[in-house]
Parts: sequence; C-alpha cells; structure tokens
Amino acid sequence: MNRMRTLSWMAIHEMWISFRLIAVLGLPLLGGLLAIVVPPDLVGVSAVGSAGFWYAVGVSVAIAATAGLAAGTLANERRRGTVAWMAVRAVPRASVFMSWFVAFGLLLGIGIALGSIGAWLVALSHAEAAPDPVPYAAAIGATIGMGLLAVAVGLLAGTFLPSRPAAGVSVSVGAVVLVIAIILAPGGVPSPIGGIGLLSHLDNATRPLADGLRSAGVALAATSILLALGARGLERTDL
Amino acid sequence: MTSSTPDALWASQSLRLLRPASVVCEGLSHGSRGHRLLDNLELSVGVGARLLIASRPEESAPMLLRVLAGLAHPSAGMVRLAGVTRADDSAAGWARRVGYVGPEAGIYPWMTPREVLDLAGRLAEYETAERRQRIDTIAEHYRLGTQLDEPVQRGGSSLAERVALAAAMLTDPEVLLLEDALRAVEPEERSRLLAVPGRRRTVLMTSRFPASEAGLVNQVAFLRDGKLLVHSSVKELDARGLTLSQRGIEALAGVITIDPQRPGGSRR
Repeated sequence: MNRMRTLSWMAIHEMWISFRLIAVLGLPLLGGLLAIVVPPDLVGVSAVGSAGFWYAVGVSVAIAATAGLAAGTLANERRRGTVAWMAVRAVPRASVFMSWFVAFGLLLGIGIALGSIGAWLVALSHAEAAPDPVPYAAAIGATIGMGLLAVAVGLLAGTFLPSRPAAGVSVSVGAVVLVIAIILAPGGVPSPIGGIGLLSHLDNATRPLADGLRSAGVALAATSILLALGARGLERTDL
Repeated sequence: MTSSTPDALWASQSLRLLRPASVVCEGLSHGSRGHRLLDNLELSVGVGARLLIASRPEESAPMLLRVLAGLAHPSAGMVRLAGVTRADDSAAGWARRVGYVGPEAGIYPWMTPREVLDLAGRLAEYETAERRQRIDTIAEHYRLGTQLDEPVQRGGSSLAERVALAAAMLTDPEVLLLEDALRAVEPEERSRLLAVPGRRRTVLMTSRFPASEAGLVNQVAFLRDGKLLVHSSVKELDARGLTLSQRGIEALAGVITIDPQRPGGSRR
C-alpha cells in the first residue's frame, strides 16, 4: 500500500510538472463555464436541462482529451525507461499501471465534480423554482464513471502503442463514443456512456436515479475489466 | 550458493573449489523463429566475474541483459540471478540483489539525485535511518555532493546516468547488469565509476565499443545467432595476442581470423 501511495504521488507530481494536471483538472471546469456562456434557452426546456446539456458537451471534450493524455503518458513512460526503472526494482508493473490510473482518475473525477458545481450554480441562477438536485447528481456520478472508463481505455492503448498513435486512438474513440452518447436519448439497455446521455437529456429522463446508477455500475465494471487487461498487458510487454 | 552467503562459509576451501555461479541461464530463448535473438542459450557466470558480452547480431547481447533484468520475457528457458528467480519480487530478494543500468537513465528529470536515491531506497524497503546512511555513502562515492539537491535536468544526461548508476548501487547488489551504461560521462570518470568494488559482486556488461571496457572486465563472452560461442577470460584473449575489441572477441570465438598482415580480418 505504501508503495502504491508513493507511485501515485510520483505520477501526480509528474503531471503537475508537465502541466497535464492543469489540463485534466481545468478542462472539466471549462466545460462547466460553457453553461454560463451559452444562453439557457438555446437547448432544453428547464434551466437544469440546458446547463446539463452544455456541461455534457464540455465534459465530453475533457474526457476524450484526458483519455488521450493518459494514453500518451503511459506510452511515453515505457519509451523513456521510467517503467523499466521501476520494474528492475521489483515493482510490479501492474502497480505502475494502477498508479497512473489513480492519478488520472482522481484528478478527472475532482475536475468533473467541480465543473458540475459550476454548471449547477448557473442552472440555479436561471431557474424560477428550486430544481431537484438528485437527477443531476445521479448523472454527474455516472459521468465520473464514464470518465474513469475513458482513462482506462487510454492507459490500455498506451500499454501497447507508441505515444502518438495511442493518444490519437484514445481521443478518436472517446470523441465518437461521447458524441453518440450526447445524441442518443438515455434509457433502454444500460451502457457505460449512459451518464453523458442522461446529463445531456435531463429534461426527458424518466428514471434518472436508476439510469444513473446502472450506467455508473456498468462503467465501473467495464473499467475494472480494462484495468485488468492493461495491467496484464504491461506485465507481458518487453520494456 | 550466492554472494550473500555468510563470510564464514566463503572461508571454506571446498566452497571456493565449487566456484558457485551467480548468473545462470538455462535454455534461454527470445523472439520468434524467424528473428531469434537468444536461442537455447546456456550460460553460467561465477561469483565475482566481470563479464563483457558481445554478439552478432548486436541486439542479442543487450537483449540477454534485458531478459536477465526482467525487462524482456524469454520465450523459453529460465534465469537465476544471485540465487533468486524473477518470480521472487520481494524487496529482500530481487530488488536488493540485482541492479540494472540501461542506456536510458529512466528517471524523472525534475527529481533531484537525493529524491531518486530516496525513492530507490523506499522501493527496496529500507528503514529511514538506513536509507539516509546509504544515500550519504553513495552520494560521496559518485561525487553527487554539490548536485544532490538540484534537479537532475540541470546536470544534463551525464548527471542523470551517474544518478542511475548510484541508484542501482544503493542496495549493494550482488549482480550488476550494465547495458551500454554511462555513455554521456567523460571516459576517465566513466572508467572510475564502472570499476565497481566488491570481490563477490558479479558484473555483466554489454557495450557498443568493447575496447572502451579495457580494464573493467576479466571475462568475455560471444553470442552468435543467440547461442553462446565462447566464454573465456581476458587472459586467454591476451595470450592469443588479441585485443579487447569486437573483432578480437570474434577472433577468439573463431568467427573471424585476423591476419597480422591484414588487420581488417576475414569473416568465416
């Protein structure tokens, strides 16, 4: 546990030095600001629906970009011998992999949570009556689950591919999936991208809490599978 | 028997006669059939040896070191270093007994040498007091004193490589693997640093320029197409009038013949 804490702290420190920390924290916050910039009557029936939609758009960009950053980071760590430096000291490669997941996941989660507070405050300022926070909170929770899944996808790509292809694949896949999530209405089969769908269609959500929880659950299950694959992949890769 | 065997046992004459091996490779293979860098390799290196490994193709020797360091996975065979296998990932096992320095320093440039050494000590699970004492000793030996608390990037790649070696030596490893190490360091300083002390420490190294390792090794080995062709002492090289160079080692292995009239040599 001590070793994991040391490695995660190192990963966060490396992100801070290389300005990636600012990007991962700042992009979701900028997504929250999108709700301020865009007029509330452009999309959605209610103030919360409008703020949710624009925050979903902004946070989707942040999630796709973070997946790309995570992919590029791990690929770069392999290339410059940092993972090898750890591995020859009997540090399990899975620990190195997980430390990067903790660093990216923690920062993205904090960023999404802070950005969502900004978007919520915008919704409150435009709402005529006090809105119910539960559907919004459920959608944000599921969106954080989706963010963790995107980080896992990025790290998995970074395990096998060189830096630029890994980042490119992660951003492309993330962008396509998130656009689909924004366009499609939520409900039906639970999917890991349901959180973004729910956030962008809050006005039409009939069972927001149940849908949010199901989406978060599916996203976390998919994340754990990808993490297991990535950690195993890194163990088997020649450094 | 390993170099960590207590002194009292080493004192026994019978044990010295046994010539215990520190590095053992059995049936080691790496790569696919079409491009096999190691092919059923058998190698046994005694405790205290300073071995330079050369190869054709040139990638074979570095790959052997990477397999020994646990960075590359063999497709077949097994290795045992200082009495432990790779499966032993405890701090007291592999992490403290084996050191590796590669062509890339592999450390974050924003870290200071002290932070790098402290991290290496933490990963080897030393207590704080012992970690500090080891860092002080190693910093003195590798002359890091004035730069100990400055980011590695300020000292350039030369400092990064010295810190990488210092971090590898922090645990006083029984087996040290040097893959074309310290190329950014001045030649004289490089020779001083690579002349690692310890009669029971085994050092395996690969080098793009074998002649630059003169005085640092007492054994040479040559791999041809992934198989061990020769493993001999430097004295044998000298006895045949050959120099410590790629050509000299190849001539010792019988891969080329060197005609004194035609220094270029001819390949068999």
